[in-house]
Amino acid sequence: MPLHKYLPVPSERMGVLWALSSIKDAYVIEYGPAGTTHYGIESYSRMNSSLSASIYTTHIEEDDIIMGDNERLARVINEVDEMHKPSHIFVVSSSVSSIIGTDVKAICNGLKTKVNAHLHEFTGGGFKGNYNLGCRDVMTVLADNVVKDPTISDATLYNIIGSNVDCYNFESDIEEVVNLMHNCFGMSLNAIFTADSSIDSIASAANAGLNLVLRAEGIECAEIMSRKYDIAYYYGLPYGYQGTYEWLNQVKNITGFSCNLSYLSKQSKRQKDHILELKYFLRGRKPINAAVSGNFDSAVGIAKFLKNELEINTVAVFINHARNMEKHIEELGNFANVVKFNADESQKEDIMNSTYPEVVLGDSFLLHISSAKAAKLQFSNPNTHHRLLCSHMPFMGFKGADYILEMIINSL
Amino acid sequence: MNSNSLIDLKRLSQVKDKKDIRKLSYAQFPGTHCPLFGVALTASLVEDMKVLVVGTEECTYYTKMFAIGRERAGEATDNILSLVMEQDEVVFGATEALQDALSCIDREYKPEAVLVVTTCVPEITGEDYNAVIQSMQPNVNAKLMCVKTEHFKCSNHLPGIERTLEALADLMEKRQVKAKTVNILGHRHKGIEKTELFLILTAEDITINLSIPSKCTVELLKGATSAELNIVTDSTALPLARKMKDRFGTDFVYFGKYGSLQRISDSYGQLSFKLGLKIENRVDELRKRTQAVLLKCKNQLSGKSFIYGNTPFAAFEACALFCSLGMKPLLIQTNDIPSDSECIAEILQYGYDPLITEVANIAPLRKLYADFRPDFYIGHEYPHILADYGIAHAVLDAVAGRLGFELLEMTAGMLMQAHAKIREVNVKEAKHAVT
Repeated sequence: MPLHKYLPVPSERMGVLWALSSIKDAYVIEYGPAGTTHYGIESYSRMNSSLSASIYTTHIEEDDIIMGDNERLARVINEVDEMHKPSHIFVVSSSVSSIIGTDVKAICNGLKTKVNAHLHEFTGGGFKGNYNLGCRDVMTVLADNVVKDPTISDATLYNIIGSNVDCYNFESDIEEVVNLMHNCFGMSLNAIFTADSSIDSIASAANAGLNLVLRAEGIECAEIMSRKYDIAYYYGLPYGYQGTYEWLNQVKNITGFSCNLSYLSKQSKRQKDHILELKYFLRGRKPINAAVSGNFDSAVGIAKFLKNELEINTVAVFINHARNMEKHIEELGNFANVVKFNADESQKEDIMNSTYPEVVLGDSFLLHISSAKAAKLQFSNPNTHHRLLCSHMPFMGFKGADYILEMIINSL
Repeated sequence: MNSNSLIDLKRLSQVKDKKDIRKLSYAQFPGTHCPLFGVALTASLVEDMKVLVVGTEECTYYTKMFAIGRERAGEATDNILSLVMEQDEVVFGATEALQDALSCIDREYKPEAVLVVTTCVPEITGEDYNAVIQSMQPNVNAKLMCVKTEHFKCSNHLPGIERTLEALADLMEKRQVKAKTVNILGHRHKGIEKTELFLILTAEDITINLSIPSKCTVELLKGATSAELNIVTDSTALPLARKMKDRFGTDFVYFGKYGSLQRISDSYGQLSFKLGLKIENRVDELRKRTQAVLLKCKNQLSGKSFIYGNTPFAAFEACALFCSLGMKPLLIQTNDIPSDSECIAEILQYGYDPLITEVANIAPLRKLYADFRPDFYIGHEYPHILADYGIAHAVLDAVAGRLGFELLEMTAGMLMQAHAKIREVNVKEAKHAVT
């Protein structure tokens, strides 16, 4: 129970609500005090997202707690079902309802034959782990219960799994993935789990021929769809020039589609010019160090780009959540010793104060504690200040590599 | 009543107390803010105090985010620290962790005071945090205080403001009373020195000792008791005023956010009596000036209907003001029905009998916009939704920093501005539709 002078790590309940918030026509009912719902609703704009789902609170009063009266939840579920006629209602326990031991699953089970909507429960109450697990749980539930049998089977369609509103810059990154897939393979986006999405588009996800998994938390979702609908998936992020080539190559191998070579050769020329420019810029300088922070895949992905392609050594890769994807850790190789899961504030300060990285790609706290002279880029959440308006400035893909390289050259 | 509403609402003439306020729906969006938010609004104004929020990640994270945003906007100091309760603390207790945290804060930040804020979870687990801080007090230099903010025992954020202000009384020490010196209690906005009340008082050689909480520090709060009189400008500071009267004998007057010229004049009259001021002429002059602004506003807005959401005024105080401008209330959102409200009587006397419903539940309300067709929505709503219906949107948060007649002048100005803005949009859209 550490003391936080900055922001604590968001809980799995927060991740659940964030992941659901961006799904149009998702009806979410929070069973708990209204204040947390209100606070949460106000947070979406800070994540450069807007509320697409319909989120409601039951509120809860002392009598409900003392008497163990659950009627309030049943009443709200019935009302939302009758009033809005949604196809799916997502019921989210609060810390209060979890502590007093309300059996939300049993309540929902009792109502399943009485309401038209499908009910899905998230009962962690904030005590299950960090926010990323909440995102995982939402995507898994969607794959299991919302995705319908395919009406068509179109190999040129793909889904993005694992772009959620907690991924800083998700809008630009999605646009870049869409451009890459279109320019290289002529493929079209079908559904996104879950940023800028809708219940209808997610329900139609099985029509696609490929799932692109952009964070480890989406693997379970992709595996469910692989088992149920035989949809192949590729897990990886297109960071950096070479990283993007490799990513496209993997997609090519999985889909069997051929790449648009003229597009790739144009990118190759740009890449060579840009890397040369960096080398010219860095001539005679001592090696540059960097620190990054973010979700597991984005932080590690960008660190690999810095190290493997720009020859910028990463002194610390701070993962803003606990270690819970062990099978992927093995793939870290050289980075294993600098990857820090859930480092507390003082550990981060100690590392930053002892290494003085010249390049920092991170969340607001990491940027705050880094040297004033460092080249800094808001790369991840938590984001306390930065408003994003553009959707054409990604971190992923060729454009993302350009953008990051340009920032480094101009800031150092 | 529209078929979209599930439960019939009562009208103003039919409501006697809180129990008569019906909901538009059981499902609430966005729901009320909790007392923790009230604490964040208030305690962040006391610069040399640290605020330790004890609760879940959610409570602590969002409170910190809010404080960071306020500091960036120049409205307050981010003095929030967090102690996150995980499953172990829920099961085995957080006493030891709280003690460690308080020692650490005392050592590292050397604050004058620490306000420990307990939230829903620690209040359910039932640990006695007051006892913990009492046992810790001899071991730390900072003055320790505790405020409870569990939301399941109250209906909005105001108790958080009240309790924080009341807790500040524990920082005060008995001092020699200085004549012609006052405190202003309950003002939570920067720029007290620019308010009408402040200027009138200082022109009469009255010294403003402190504005609590907008202009005070822990050190200065010790000397709050040297004021001859407390002027309470917000009802949330009444518990503090009563406590100061009981404990230190400091007299107080209530100078609230009134929507009536007469009530504001009466408040100035009360101040004159208590402090021996000669401000009648100045007050009359201001009253006449404000009356002229209100008349101008009435000429523009008379006959316009409105839905009332929230403003810095008390709900019925605001609605009585709008009715005095010839505006017609269709529906009022409120969380309380004051038993002795002259404002309710005034609204009924104007011949209006609006529907009454609970606050902070705008989702079902939106279904009514098409049928109700209000000219105005006064309070917090998504502006683009109101614009779709051609409804003028007046958010009056900014008037909260004004005290006296200026409050009415600014309110009238903002209403006229909102009206002009939507009229312009509606005219443009009509032209567009024709072409």
